[in-house]
Amino acid sequence: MDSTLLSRIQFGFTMTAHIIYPSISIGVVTFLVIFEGLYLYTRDKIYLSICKFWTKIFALTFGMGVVSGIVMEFQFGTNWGGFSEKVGSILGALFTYEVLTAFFIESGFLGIMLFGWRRVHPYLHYCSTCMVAFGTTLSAFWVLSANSWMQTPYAYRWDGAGNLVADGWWDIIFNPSTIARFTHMLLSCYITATFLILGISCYYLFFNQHTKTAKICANFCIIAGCVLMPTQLMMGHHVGVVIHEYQPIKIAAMEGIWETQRGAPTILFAIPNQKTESNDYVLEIPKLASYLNTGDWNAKMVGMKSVPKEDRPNAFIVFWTFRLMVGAGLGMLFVAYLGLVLKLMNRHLTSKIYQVLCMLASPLGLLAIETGWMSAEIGRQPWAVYGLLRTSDVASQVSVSQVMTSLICLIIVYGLIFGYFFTKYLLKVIHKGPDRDMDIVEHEALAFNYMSTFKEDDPLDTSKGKSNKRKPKVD
Amino acid sequence: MAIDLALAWIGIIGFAVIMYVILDGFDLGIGILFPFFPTKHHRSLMLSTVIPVWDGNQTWLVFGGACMYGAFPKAFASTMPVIYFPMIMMLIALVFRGVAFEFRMKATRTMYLWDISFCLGSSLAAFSQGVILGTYVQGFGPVAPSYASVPHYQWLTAFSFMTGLGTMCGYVLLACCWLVIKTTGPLQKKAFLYGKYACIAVAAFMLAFSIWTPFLGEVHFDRWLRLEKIIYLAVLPLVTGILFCVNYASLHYRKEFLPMLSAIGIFLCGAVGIVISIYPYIVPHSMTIHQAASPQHALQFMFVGACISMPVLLFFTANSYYVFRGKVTKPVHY
Repeated sequence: MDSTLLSRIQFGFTMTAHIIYPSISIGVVTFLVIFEGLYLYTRDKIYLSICKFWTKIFALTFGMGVVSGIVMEFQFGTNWGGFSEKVGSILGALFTYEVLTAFFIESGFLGIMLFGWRRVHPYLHYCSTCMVAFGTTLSAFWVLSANSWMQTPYAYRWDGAGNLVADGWWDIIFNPSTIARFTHMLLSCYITATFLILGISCYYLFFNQHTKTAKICANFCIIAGCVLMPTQLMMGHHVGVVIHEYQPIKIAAMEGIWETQRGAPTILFAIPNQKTESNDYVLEIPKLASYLNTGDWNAKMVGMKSVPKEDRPNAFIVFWTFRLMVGAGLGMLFVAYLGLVLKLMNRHLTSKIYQVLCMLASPLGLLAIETGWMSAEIGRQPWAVYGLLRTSDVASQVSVSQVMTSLICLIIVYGLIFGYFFTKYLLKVIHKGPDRDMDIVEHEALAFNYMSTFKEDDPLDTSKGKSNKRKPKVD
Repeated sequence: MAIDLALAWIGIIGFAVIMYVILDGFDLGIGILFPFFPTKHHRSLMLSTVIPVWDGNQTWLVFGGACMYGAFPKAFASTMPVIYFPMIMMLIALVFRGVAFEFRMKATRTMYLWDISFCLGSSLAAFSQGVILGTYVQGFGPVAPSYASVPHYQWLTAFSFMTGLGTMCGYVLLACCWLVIKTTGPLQKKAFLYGKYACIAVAAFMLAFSIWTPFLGEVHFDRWLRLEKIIYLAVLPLVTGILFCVNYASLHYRKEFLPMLSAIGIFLCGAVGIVISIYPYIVPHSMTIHQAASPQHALQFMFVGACISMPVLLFFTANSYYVFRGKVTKPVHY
């Protein structure tokens, strides 16, 4: 084993662990923005109780995201020194912008959002929640922009010393795949949270606990799923079209196409065989891949064999992770629309089978994110920056023993902390549920009323001195 | 107008590092202090003083790292692999420290586990940061300014161990000063007492650091002990000494804000000393600031962003401290 491979394993491992938390955070905080807004609008304590419960889960995942994120940043230097040196002036600038525009906004308002319920005016609290949501979304944008630049590099120049430097920042930030991939990722964060919330709500319904809040959440999530899933399928398709244009070999690996051909089939099942450069046990739909990627049934699709072996990604992994992602997506689409059908029959909250199905579907969003990222990143190989820098050329020349030590340490620590304890405490929070906190909720609600009537001179508060039955305007 | 953007970026990174050291310094210091505050209630209170702000404090580290990556990629690329081991150690320690905040609140029977995790994580993170500082001040020798051929155990010296322990003491001092501001009663009393011990320890370490540094190598010797410079440079130890006296006295006479202010002053003096040791290098003593800097247009692009957002961010940070101002008398919860 060489240290480059170990560094790749380490980076992939820490990334796989990290991506879980920001994805859940972005989705859940958006959910919180909606429900805290509903609370302020209706002043119905039930929404506050939902907010408080999901804030706990948000805090837990956000914390994990913060600590696992720092590891990612410094690994660019420790393990990918060559990469940092060659593209630092481009990607480092994007990361600097991420910290400046996203991380500080998040961290500046996170404390208020989590612990400031009684310390600030409710509108200011809502403002903080929105700012945290805005910050997390923006940080996803910068990361996706940087990653998309690695996939579809644009507006760059080589300087004299063999480094890549920027040639137009706007075009770098909005490189050809940024918008498509950012939207795709953002939607998948929403979907992940939607199915997580749906699954947990169905767990409560199944055991007849906290049914009041669970019903509200389940209803909301089924509708959200029905809107989000088709949108995501279209978006995913659009990403495929963009990738097909700029990274044809990656698409070839995803589709399992070895020979360049017209009217390429969509392969439903196959075992890509790298030795014979063909697929074993193939089950396929003729011409569909060409149609999906170009809109023309007989369009030409480039095959993996059109480039030398050393320029191809691992066909088996890319092929299957891609299929898992699509499969998970179709599964979630099914669950969402089945829920809609049952809802029309008014049975969605009582059908035990559907509740179990939703519980089983709750990790599908995460599965899709993990496998989707794997197929995107492993599909980019052997390039670190597609077509420009080879991964093997940009790793730090640290010794195998050092990387091996750090990798083993990280696996043990991550397994313990993120694998065991995070799951344990997450389940504990879920098991405890929202309603037991009703006394605290009550207390907060009192504080809310107290504040809104007390601060009569507050220009923001339009419900000045009136009874709390009147709906305030939320701006 | 021509601003030297590379220097401006060094200024921004320096500011970020100082903000990090001071702000996360007291977070980490609280962790190091845990064994000396055995009661559960005290520990909960100590954590509650930092829980709403620790994430923001740590963000300064992320910011410093990202700026280094973007503005001085060559320096980032050539130093990080050399400090591979202490760096990974710090990151893992920060994981243990960071998750302890959340997990401790959720835990019941296993709360002690997260006390240990918080304490060890904070101590190890502080120690690693000190080791990294020590390695940095020593200089990386005549290493080629490239990521290739990395000497692996440059960081493993007596000097860097000393700076590691010194950093831990420094953070403890900051933590005591922070607790003096944020707490009352017996907890505050203890913070005053330990603050005095920490003050003495930090003074001793800084003295050792100052005496040792000139003898690390010829470059260092030239900078500190040349006769023509010694007059100017004597000002720094003098100011630091006065600040130490102020710090100790203010802790002794139970002032609430002066200890923190003087401790920050001490840290600033330390930072000035370090700058004198390494300027104009960014990778001492083989790569200067300008050699390592990104192309001008990249620095410019980032600088515009920094100029616009830094004031806003500082306002946000100040705001979150303002919201959570005052004494902490009971543990926070959601």
